Amino acid sequence: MRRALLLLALLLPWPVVAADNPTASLTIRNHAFDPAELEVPAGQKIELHVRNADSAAAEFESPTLHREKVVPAGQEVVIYVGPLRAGSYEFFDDFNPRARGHIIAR
Amino acid sequence: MLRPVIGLAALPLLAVPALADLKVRMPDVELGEFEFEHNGLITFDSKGSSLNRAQSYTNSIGYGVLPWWKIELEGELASGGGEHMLWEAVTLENTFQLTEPGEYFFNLGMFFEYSQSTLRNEPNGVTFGPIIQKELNDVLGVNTLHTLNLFLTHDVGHNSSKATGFEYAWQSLVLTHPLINPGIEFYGTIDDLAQAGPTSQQQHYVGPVLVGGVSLAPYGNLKYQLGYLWGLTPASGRSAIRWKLEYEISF
Repeated sequence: MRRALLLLALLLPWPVVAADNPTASLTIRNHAFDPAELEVPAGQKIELHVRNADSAAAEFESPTLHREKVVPAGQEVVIYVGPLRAGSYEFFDDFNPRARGHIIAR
Repeated sequence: MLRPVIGLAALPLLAVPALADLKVRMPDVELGEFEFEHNGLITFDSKGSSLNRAQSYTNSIGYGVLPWWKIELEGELASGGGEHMLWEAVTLENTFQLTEPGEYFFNLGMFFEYSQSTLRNEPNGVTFGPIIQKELNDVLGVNTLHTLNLFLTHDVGHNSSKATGFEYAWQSLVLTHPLINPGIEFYGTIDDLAQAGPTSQQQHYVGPVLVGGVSLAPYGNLKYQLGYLWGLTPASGRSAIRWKLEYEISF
């Protein structure tokens, strides 16, 4: 059904363009982000792969990046962020807010 | 197995357009997240007008059933100026997230609602259409978020008209701080596209809005919207205040 709806939407004349983006990876392990600081290029959209190696679900959340996504236990999700200005952007696990980290855009 | 359930869930309830529907729907869905939402709207016009101090409220509970499907059950209350508040409808809303936020040039979603009138002799209704969102980062040094709803409406069931209506909602925000993001909103309603009539008989609004929220992690998020709207046509009334309060928590 989702594919049918997407097909319907794509029939509308919106320019929907994907591009190759730099990728970066984070792992949630023992209720902490690894690495806690992730350096990415500024000015480019980033394909962020977040893998949850724990046995409980986590939720990647960052109000400054305007992103929020549940990462089920043992699974990986892809989150698209940016293009970012140079600077530091905090993120945390909404289910376990002691787990925090920063994306550093340079 | 879930797909037939989705179809069934989308069918059973119906919609009478409520003024509290002056809100912008977002295309994103969060798996396993419960939402408790309250919307309010009060319109102001000259004394004696049915739009003077007319009120409309909705309260809803929503849930992210799948990573791309959210369902909401909503109750709608409304009153014309000086009239008693009436429970007007029960509505089942479905939001389908079609793209991952930020993946493509636009973030896309689809919206479908069915609203069952609770008023005697009033028709039920459906509302559906695309949700289009664009994130524009680093515009004059700030990030911005622009969301457009383009919905068609149609009565169904007893006493229904053959008219197809059109509703649009547009919100542009400057993402300054999670607690407070200023923006501007536009809303409009044309009751019958085939006989739209002069603009003066349509409802169009524009005005500023503040949007923000606070994380209560791990106990969810509290969000708000507060907007002031000017009616752009005689049929819209002079002005309106609208607000939205939302609590969301994932399990």
